[in-house]
Amino acid sequence: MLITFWLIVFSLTIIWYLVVTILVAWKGFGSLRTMLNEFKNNEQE
Amino acid sequence: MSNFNWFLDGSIILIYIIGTLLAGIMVRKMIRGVDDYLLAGRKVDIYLGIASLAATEFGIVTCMANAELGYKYGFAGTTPGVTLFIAMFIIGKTGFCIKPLRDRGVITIPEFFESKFGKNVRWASGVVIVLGGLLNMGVFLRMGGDFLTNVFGLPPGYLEVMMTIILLIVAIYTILGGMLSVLVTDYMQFVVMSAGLLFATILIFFKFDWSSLVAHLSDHYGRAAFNPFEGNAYGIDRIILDIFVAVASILTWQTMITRVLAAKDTRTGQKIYQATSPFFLVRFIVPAFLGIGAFYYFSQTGQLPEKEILALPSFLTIVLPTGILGILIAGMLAADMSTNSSYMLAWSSVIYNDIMEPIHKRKWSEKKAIFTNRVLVASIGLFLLVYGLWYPLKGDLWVYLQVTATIYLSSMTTILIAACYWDRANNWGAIGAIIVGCFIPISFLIMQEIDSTKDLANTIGPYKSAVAAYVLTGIAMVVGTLLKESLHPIKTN
Repeated sequence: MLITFWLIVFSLTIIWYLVVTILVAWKGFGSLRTMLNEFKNNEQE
Repeated sequence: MSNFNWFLDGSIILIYIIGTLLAGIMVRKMIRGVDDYLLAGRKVDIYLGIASLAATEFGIVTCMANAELGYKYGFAGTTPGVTLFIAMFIIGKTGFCIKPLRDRGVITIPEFFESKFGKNVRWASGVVIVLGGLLNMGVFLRMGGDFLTNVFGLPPGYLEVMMTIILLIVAIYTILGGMLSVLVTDYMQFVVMSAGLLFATILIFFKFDWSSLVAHLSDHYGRAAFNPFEGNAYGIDRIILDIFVAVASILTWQTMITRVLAAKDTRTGQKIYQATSPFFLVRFIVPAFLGIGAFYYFSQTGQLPEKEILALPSFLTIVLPTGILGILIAGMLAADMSTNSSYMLAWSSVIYNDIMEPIHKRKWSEKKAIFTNRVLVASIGLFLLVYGLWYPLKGDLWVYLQVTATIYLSSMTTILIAACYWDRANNWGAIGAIIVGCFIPISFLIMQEIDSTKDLANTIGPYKSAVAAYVLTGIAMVVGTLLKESLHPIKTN
């Protein structure tokens, strides 16, 4: 019972980590670009 | 026998280091003021917040220490991760303390305290945060050096040189670009670190099958390997301390709370906490699993390492193939660099914003303020080099980390909760909390070193003494406040 519980927790954790890594790599790049553009625009003002 | 290949794995690592350094340096010209330097102009959104918070709070020290927990306690060793996950999710969801803190638009926690408790409490809080934080961070480089020397298969004499080079790279981009560089490099570091960890974990999961690993744990530790409440292996004292440390660090650990303060608004800050909370489970489960794998492997080969904390690097260099090893080491370097850069910036922000406030009184020009912060980051780097590398830690690492963290966390958490939710709280209570919060852990450390009190300290143990610090700090806050109310009934602050 406990071993099954840890297998489920471990599997869910890895799946969550995989999904979030892909999501953050994809969306985070856009966020980073937007943020740096804002800084660049401020610099030019 | 190490699978590390200097050409293939070394190239992966070199490309990563050059990329990080260039990216970190390129953004330096965008910095215009202290807010940009310390909080990236408060423009952080949810995805960048997750990447930055996760990359910062996962370093080589975390990985090695948590792998050691898996090695020694099995899955029960992930208890701190479970408590951190739950605490972070609840605090993010409810906004407990972090909402009023972000709403106020402060740079640091001590700045928040000033309006309620006055300048002296702000200054004293700054000193305690820097003292606890820097001492805690002082051992990071040494542990990181141990890991890297081990995986590279280098003689111990190379440790100092290698870690000095890494620190210099981190210091250059942090000094020049501040929080903006930290965010850009944190993003890269999160992606590289996660790729390395996921590769290694999945590979080991399929290489040693699950049933063999858990059967081995069952044979050695019994049910206690899967349930921290079972027997005395992990222990109830430690579970209670895990809960206190989880809540306290999520509320007040400067590198964590900086992500909330740097968020573009309060709601985003809360969402960053909620969304990152499962990562704190990952932060324990993944290294613990690798530690369990190391325990299984070395038990089978009969070559158990002398120091359990070094089991992980030895294990990884043997079982991971060339190429994957390079990605993992680059990932570990990424984790370590992001942790060091964020920590250097966090403590320098407290020194400038709170401890030096009576000197600059916020009247310095932006140029002078940024220059001062750069000097502070460089000084912290120098301190880390001297303290972490040239003065090897003596004594038990776990006790050391507990003591240094408690010096800061116990009092700051009590004062923060009181500042947010107890109208009657005053500066006597806050000063009392700071004194008690420092006194108990430092006394315990001293008692351990003195022959006549060593036995008593061992009887009490590090967990009970740390729990006592949290409880007594709360009591000191209440007693100090009531004492001032009774002696000065009209003027309460």
